[in-house]
Amino acid sequence: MIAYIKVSSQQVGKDLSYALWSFTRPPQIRSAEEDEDDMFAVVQDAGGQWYLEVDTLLNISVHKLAEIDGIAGILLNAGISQTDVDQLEAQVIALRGQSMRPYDYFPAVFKDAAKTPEEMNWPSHA
Amino acid sequence: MPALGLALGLPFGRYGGGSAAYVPPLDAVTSKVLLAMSLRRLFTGNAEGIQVRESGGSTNADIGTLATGDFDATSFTTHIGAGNGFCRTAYDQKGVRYYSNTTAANQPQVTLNAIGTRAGLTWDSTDTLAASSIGTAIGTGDFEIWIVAKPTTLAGYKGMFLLGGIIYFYTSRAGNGKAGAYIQSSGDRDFNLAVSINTAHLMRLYRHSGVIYCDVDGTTAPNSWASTDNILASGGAHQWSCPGGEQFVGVMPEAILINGALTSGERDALKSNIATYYGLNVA
Repeated sequence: MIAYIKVSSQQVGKDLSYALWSFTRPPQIRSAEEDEDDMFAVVQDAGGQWYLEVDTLLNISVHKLAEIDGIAGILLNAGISQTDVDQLEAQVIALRGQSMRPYDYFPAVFKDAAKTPEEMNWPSHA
Repeated sequence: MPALGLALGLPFGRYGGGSAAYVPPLDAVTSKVLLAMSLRRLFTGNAEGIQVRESGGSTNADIGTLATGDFDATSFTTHIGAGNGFCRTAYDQKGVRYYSNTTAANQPQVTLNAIGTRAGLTWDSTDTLAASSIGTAIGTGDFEIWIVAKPTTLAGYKGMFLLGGIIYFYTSRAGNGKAGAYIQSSGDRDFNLAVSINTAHLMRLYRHSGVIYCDVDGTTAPNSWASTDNILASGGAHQWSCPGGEQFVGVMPEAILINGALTSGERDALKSNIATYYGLNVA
């Protein structure tokens, strides 16, 4: 299933996607070729709103060097409390060496505002 | 003997009788090929295939093709271990450019027995592989897009290929089970050709002398549409599958782009080769 999660800008979406992918491929182990790799696409609807295109079933392995540094600032800027960010960090650290479904760890405030594919209003190419 | 068979456009190869050597389909038309992506070998001596990301640790490895023509399943299964494999990059076997996706969730999955015993890429509703260029301008001239596609839905706007951001090729543009296209200079158009769900088809969209035609499994649509669109070397999106919520859903193992027009003999030979390799029912 796909969920379209609102983000404030294309750059925020890209930063979030890159940081999420760093759970499984931390920057320090990436080859130069992988430097731009990320987890989810960032797409725009007909009204100009940006979304993270999240595969809700995607499962990833969590690398033993995984950190949440890359998304902590994004979450705090989105209004997530420091307490919740700290809790997420503890969860990710506990999952090192195991697997996780990233969507399960998205804060409820993001999920509640998510759209389904049917609800998306795509720009026309005509 | 193989040279004679190739000249006559006959389907040669181990799939014909079990012992003859595999003959790649594009050797005889190399100069006309602009783009050649497949999980099988399309040119003699070119073993390039795809780059596979394995789901366990998300490491990448190039998996090529064998002299038998087939995808190297042994190397693939060694690389993915107990996990799954996803195509991060499809190498253009013409050697000019790559079609890739660095976003993990949008990479098509590699399936070994996708069409009969042939390997293919399984695309979901977010998967695409893209390049910013086709390298050579087609301009307003002739072109042919050849695709092997096995759709799992006939919902509307499931795009198999996007050419220069201005021509989209759909399995079922309007959700009516008819092949279709968006042609910037003509608009959204259907061809009067049926496409079946869960069936592998040979899909071909082509422009000859400013008119876009389509055929499915060797049968040409009775209707066609004008196209004055200028296909540049770059400057617009070129994608295998389409963007913007219009991604193809199903299996596609092969996409070939011809700059210009094949002769009828070349066309028959390519059609025969593809049909035989994938076991398609082609007229």
